[in-house]
Amino acid sequence: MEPVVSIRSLSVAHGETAILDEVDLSFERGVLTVLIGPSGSGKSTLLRSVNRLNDLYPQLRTTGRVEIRTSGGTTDVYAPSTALPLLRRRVAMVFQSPNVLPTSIRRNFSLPLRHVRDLRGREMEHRMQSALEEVELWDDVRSRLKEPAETLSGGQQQRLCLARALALEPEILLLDEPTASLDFAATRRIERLLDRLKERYAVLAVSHSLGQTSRLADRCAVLNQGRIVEHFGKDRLHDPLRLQALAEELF
Amino acid sequence: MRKRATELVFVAASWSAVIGLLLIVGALLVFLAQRASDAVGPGMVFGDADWWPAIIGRAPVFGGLWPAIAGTISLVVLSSLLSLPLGTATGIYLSEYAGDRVKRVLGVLVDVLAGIPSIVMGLFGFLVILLLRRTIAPDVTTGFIVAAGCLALLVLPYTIRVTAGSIDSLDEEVRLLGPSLGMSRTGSLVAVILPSASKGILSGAILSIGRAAEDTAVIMLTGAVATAGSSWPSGPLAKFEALPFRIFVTAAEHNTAEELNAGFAAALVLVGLTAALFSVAYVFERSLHRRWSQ
Repeated sequence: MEPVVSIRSLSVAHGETAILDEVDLSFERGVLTVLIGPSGSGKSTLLRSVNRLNDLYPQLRTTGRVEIRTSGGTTDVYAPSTALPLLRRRVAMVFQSPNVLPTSIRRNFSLPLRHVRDLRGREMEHRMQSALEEVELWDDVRSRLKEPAETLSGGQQQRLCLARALALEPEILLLDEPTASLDFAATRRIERLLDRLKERYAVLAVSHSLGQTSRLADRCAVLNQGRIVEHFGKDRLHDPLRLQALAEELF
Repeated sequence: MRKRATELVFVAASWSAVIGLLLIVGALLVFLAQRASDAVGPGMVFGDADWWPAIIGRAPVFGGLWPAIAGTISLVVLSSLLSLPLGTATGIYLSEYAGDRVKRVLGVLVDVLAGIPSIVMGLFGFLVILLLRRTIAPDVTTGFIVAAGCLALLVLPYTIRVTAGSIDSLDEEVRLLGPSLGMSRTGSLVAVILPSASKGILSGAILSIGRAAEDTAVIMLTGAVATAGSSWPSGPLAKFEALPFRIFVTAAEHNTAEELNAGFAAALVLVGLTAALFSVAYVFERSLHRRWSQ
């Protein structure tokens, strides 16, 4: 299968310090790729280079090539003509801590949908409902859409963030340790969700736990000091001895 | 063991500080109330005038506090209208748009402005009027709008610093959220960043309101008088009364103990008025937030 995202010779530097060094990585729909590595190894920077969020840090310098293939055709992410709002709509991102807007559940959808896709009224409601159904949250919130999103539990908030991203109809999902701040049950629920979502979206997730990686990943890339040092499939993740060796090597 | 003892001492010190503060504020209010109680009477606020015509400025008030209250309210409202939009916008610029060098230079300038004593700000207003009189407007005098403008300058640095500070202290992921959803920079600022920082911005507004309500040095050089003749300032260049100036004049020139007690009553009213203005600012922020939330 042709990769949806191809990263070639990507380097990101902060002044003289290299954060990412000649990274090559590609991922496709149906195969959940998990990125692991010690903290400070450049995982978040790598994710943010796919939707060019690194542009918000003027001190970062990016070289190399990132290409995405979506229904809109092939896009050279770093070409000067690339429209950032459109790129970021196609490449959605969910962060480590649940980032609900300090407003009602409904407005968490209506605001971005209006700003980004110019959707209002019935169309907006419909989009919100299907996104919330997709993350299995609709039944919990349908009667309380006017309540502040902050009244939801941590796990529900994170699913809301996922739904809010999905409502913009992306084709690629970037997940930056999406379960790092959640309890066991909420984590498992999101993991089951991701396992399903990978069939529709090309997913690249950063994980902080090897246990989660072995449950979730179809493929795993190990980042260390800004370089991809290993790249392997499910078989190695399901071998406890090899997993142990990896844990010792990394953490 | 030693660590625990240090922690105990620390907790005890923190609690004593809070209790001490409450005691001081309480003692101050009790003292004010006690001294003011002699002056409290039916004529304290409106003198001999009927209250409604006095409030709307139809009847002159002699001997009551109302003209000073109306003057202070007008000053606070106008100086806030001038300083809050300007200060908030500058704070947003400093935090969101300014480059490192501009940020440093502007930051120093804002600190210098914050360090200017209010008497100097009053002198500045006074000198501007002198300059205008000698050049393009020989008839212009100190008055309400000059005082409000100088007060706005005085409180501007608080608003700027607090706005920039509360935006800067937002979590990195909150800043990335808007762009990650495909929002433009302005869209993200309006929809995500400002609402997330609104509580902090409000506390800046409250600080400025308190500062503008209590300042005496600026207004005594720019148009405050002991008796203005009308309750509300009658025009942009009209002389006006204000509570802090009334308190200052009473303290400096009282002849009898009763007159001094009337000064304490004015001080108590100023405390109450400031609390009421804070409440208005709070209710305004809450209602904005509620409207935004639905």
